[in-house]
Amino acid sequence: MINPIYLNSEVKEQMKQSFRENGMIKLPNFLTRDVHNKLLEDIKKQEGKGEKVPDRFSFRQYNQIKIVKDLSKQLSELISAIIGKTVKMQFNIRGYGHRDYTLIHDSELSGKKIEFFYVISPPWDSAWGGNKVYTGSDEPLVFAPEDNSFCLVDKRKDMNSFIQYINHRAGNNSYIILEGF
Amino acid sequence: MKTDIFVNRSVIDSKESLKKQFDISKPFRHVLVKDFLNEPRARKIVQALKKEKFEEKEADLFHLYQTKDLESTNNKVLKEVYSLFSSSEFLEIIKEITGIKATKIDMAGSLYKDTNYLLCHDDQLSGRKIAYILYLSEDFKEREGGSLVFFNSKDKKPTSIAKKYPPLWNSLMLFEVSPISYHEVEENISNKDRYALGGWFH
Repeated sequence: MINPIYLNSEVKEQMKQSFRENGMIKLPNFLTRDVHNKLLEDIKKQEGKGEKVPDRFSFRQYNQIKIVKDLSKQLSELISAIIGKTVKMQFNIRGYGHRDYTLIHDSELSGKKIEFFYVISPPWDSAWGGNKVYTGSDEPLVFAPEDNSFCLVDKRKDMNSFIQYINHRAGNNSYIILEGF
Repeated sequence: MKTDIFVNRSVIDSKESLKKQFDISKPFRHVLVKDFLNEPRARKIVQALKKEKFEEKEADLFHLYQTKDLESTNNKVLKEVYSLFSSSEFLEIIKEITGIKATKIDMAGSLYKDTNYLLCHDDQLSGRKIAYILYLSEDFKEREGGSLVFFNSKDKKPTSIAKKYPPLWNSLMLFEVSPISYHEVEENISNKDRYALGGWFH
């Protein structure tokens, strides 16, 4: 289900080292094509529910689906291998389109340390907004939505994350993100 | 500073009715003063503002362009507006409309280009009593975005949209800064530039 390249023990070792050095790692072509497509298909079967708290967020929330549950064991093993300790995961499935965003919120300032996200997206122009941004004392980390990519981020003490407002140039395009910690 | 050189006589004459509107307006106290400046003066100000240097500002909450505080501007026309707004005569008029006594101001120019926005927040910061925006763009239609949006609130948290004010040429918006003054500037979805002068009375 996860691209077999990432399950190779030598590659795992490289990823572990890279994560330790950079505090983040991005893995393109993360799931096998059939699993990626099934995931998208199953999510699209749901209508999702628009969630908005104006001073905090706006997005579409989807229910958990079976294929993600099936995937989670393999995923938690991989994450554990990269960060060097076992993890217990939780995640949300959300959709972001025009007028959606999340804002940095005080209650999240001392948030979770390790975060991950997986994206299913049409070809995306970052001028549409929707980038996932990690800010802190260093240069911000900016992740443009990229289909079938997986990112793992070690949020240092002073780091906050948000999803940039998506502007009208996105038209009817939207992407799906599985966010977890 | 002679206020009536700048401000329309009709505005000064209707302070009482403006005060009433300010007090009864929901979801928090505010008033939109139409045809605020004498027309030629407003034209001069927008021409001057377009010559100022605007810096791009981008964070989770906003993407827009802004000038430095105009207290330090070298532009004569903008200096005059700054002096007008901070004059005791003008602050007295603001007090008569809002019932709130202010002693000093902030003022900066803002520019929202296509796709720019300012998301929901309450403006609260120590000392801010009244927020103001003087709209200096040719009229926007509501579908073109750029509206000032006020939110209803429950338990001091913003809930639904209460009111929308598309930027109306030469009108002055005044609203009271409070724990429930939740507002946003909708994304500009037109190719028009949305210029305004704004800030706070402290």
